Amino acid sequence: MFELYIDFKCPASYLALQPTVDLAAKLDVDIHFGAFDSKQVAIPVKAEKENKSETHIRVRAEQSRNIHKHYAKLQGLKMNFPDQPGNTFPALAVLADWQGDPLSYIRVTFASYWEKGADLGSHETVLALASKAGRDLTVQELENSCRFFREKLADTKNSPVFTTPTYLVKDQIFVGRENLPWITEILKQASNTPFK
Amino acid sequence: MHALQSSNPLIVYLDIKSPYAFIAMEPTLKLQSELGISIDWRPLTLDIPSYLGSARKEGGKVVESNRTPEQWIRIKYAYKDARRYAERQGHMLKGTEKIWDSSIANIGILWVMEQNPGLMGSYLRATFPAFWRRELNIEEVAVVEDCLQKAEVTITGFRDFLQRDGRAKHDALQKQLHPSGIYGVPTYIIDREIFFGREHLPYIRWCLSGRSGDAPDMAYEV
Repeated sequence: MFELYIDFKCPASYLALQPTVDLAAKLDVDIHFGAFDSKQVAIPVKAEKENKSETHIRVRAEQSRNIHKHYAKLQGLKMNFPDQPGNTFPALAVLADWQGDPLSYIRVTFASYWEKGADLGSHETVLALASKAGRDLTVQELENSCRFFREKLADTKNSPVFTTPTYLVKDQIFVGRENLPWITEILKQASNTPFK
Repeated sequence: MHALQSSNPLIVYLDIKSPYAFIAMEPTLKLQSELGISIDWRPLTLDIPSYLGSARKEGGKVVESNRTPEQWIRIKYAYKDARRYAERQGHMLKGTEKIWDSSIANIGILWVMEQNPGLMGSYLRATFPAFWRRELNIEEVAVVEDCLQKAEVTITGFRDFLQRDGRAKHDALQKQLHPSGIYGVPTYIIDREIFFGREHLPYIRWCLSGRSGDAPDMAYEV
């Protein structure tokens, strides 16, 4: 088993999902999905007068989006970047409190955000997505999940997770799916079973 | 020199003071060797304080810093991550005590390209590992000359190049980078497309090998 912390508004999390699920299936290991409210920022609009720092931040953000789109195309995923990253807290709260396998919920929630521009800060939307994934929640249950998640995040100030997608594998932390080859090695070493 | 154009199939931007450029060195040289291609190696001298804040350490302790806690968390992870991958390559990576001016060593990259690009691997191997073991003061011309000599690159004319043509080329190139969409190292340019980070090497290999089969996802090769 290994842990993968994601955020629905994080493009790298979306792109990490399928390769990670494929890897877990290949190695016959379970993924524990964690939720993390990551900091995502809008791409700054080019100002007439920018200092070096502002230019760097803008160029980096633009290129980062280009790269996400590049690999999304290779994965056959649609990615419509919103002008401002949305609020995903309630959707993450549901994930943090999910009983059983959350994969179908994760898939529908990612797709709704990146393909349809869904507002994952809306309780109504989140309740509909959870229902679509087989879990009917009441408004009160969602509010409880939000409270629980807020407490959990406050409690994880000392947690190693500071961004997404983050993999916790044995005693190591990896940020980004580019680390999957090393993660594969660790999981293979940890298992005595033959691999598919 | 145009930031995105070259007669070689691949442009690679490096900075000797970047840990991520350091750990990209061997995988990139391996790609070059495997595919038998010529690489247009170029310097990108990072202005780290402009995007990561600055700090100065003495005896392992931070004595000056204008970094936010969030920047520190990211920097600490980045070093830890770079260190473990460096160790896999058999290299030591010690965190730097200050933010170095790497322009002399980086102009050395332009010098090697002018003198004998085939010796670039030797120059990078003479410079990167020793710098990251904290054995090189890359702000001293004599130290960079020593690296060039270890790589069997002539140093005759290097000081003049450093003062004049090399510095001018270096500075002119740096001015082009942000407007061209280049901001960090290692950066790979293939067909004017920009890829920041060695995680794109599988895709770059796929492109340079004829693009047959499915394009690979990003990955650090281990």
